[in-house]
Amino acid sequence: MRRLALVASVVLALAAATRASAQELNLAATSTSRPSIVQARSGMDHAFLGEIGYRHVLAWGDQQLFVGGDVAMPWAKADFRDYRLRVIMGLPFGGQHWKLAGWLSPTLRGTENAASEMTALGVDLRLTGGYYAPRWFIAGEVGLDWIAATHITFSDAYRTSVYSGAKDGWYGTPGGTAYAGLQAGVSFSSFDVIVRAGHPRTTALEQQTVPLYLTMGVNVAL
Amino acid sequence: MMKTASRTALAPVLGLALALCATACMDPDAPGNLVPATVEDDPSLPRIEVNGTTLHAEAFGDPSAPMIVMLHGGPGGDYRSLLPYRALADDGYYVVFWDHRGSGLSRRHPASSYTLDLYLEDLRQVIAHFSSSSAQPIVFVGHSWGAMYATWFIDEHGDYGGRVAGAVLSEPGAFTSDGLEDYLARLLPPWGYTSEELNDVLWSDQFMSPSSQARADFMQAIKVLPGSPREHNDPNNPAPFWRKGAVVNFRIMELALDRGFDWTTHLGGFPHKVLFLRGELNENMPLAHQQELASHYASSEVITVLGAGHDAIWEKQAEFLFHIRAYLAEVGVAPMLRLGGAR
Repeated sequence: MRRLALVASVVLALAAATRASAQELNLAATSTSRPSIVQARSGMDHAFLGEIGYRHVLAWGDQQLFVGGDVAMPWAKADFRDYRLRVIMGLPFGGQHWKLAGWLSPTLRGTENAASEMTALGVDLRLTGGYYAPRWFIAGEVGLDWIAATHITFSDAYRTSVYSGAKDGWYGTPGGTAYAGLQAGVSFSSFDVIVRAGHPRTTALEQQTVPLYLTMGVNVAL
Repeated sequence: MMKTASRTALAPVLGLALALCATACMDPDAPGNLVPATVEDDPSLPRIEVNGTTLHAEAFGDPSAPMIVMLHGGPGGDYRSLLPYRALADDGYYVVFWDHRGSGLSRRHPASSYTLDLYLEDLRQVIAHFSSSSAQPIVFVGHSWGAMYATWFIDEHGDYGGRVAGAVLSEPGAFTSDGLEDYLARLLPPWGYTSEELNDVLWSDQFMSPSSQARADFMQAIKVLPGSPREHNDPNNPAPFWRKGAVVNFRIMELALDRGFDWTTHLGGFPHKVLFLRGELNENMPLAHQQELASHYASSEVITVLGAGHDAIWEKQAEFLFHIRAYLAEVGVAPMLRLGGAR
């Protein structure tokens, strides 16, 4: 019954959510005694997306170590060719309330659009730091979501209507996203409800098509 | 479990990709990879040097015949979809095609280098480059942005010393900055907020950054290829293009809207009839919209081409040629009846 209530709560929280991303945790509320955390988020992050993830809390000396992963998809229209997969490792430092955490996330992305099919491999490096209390937290974040290589297969439409000589294959260091923002949340029972917002730029600090990210998510410690 | 997944899947794949890419990955900015090379890198392309830039340009017909200056859409489009109008050269006209500054296969420049005055002067110098005499008649045939560009030139230069004998304007968007803002509000976003097209365009930002002209132009192609449903272009017969000019597209629109413009102030003094050709199906440019734009000219006519949208100039070439030929006869720009070669 309790498990059913948990699931129902997550569904209700998701219904009220707006957008999604990854390394958002109340670092004062995590515990190796409840090491499994399920995450669900939604909102605007490059596109309207939904995301589900899992974190496992490990002991690493006196510190906690987080490992896990998530999968995200834009939800404007369900298309399984558009996705993002991340493996996440996080290591927090600091005192009882003021904490700093570094996050490393190898990332695989895919998409298909009118011009091409693209698959990208990269790494998201993020630093979060702020004030964490058992019932709430607020933190800043900066990060670099760097694309190491993108494989492009050009569509027939692109070859016919635009450029027949386009070269399929891997393209090195085609860019990425630098970002800075805030995350804040409240924690109660087994839940964190977390809002994350910020401003993305290209790795050359140019404006991106969507000049902000804004997500809301729910974490459930199992 | 996820930790295991990380070790067995993504990390090795990423490491392998990085290692391979050090030697095997292509450069997205190298000419000819994502988008075709411009005149800077492809010596086989026809070109002219004017106003401090190199433009992809060519002309067909007798150079001494009345000149038809074709003006493509955009800003940032190219003349590939206008090439069927080479047929006018066979009629006895000298037909000039060119990709505007920073557009199509013309040379790219940094965004900061563009000015509206420079851009307008390009058209005057292109005309000068291809002119065989100072009395050679000129007729503009412009599509979308190209129709706005022609109007901008006429508002600034009038009939250019008696040389501009007419204009055929296919679906201009606006002649003032207020009108352009209204038009853009109808045009953008071209897709619904829950559409796959919007998904695809926004999601693509994560795969490549528009930090070079080549990458920016490729990403612009991702944005324009799905088309705009309200323009009702034929998805089975899309207007082809070589390469969008993303930087010039953004910069010219930004300059025009920031500075504000009104290209209607002198149109009433233009002494020749102007022909407006519009696609029946384009919801963004209904008949009343085109009639309002046409009303700024002292003499004009709006003709609706049935069964096509914004790209009627591509989809309905026979009808367009029919109306252009009839218009040229009406405004008294007679063809030269001897054929010439390409210049």
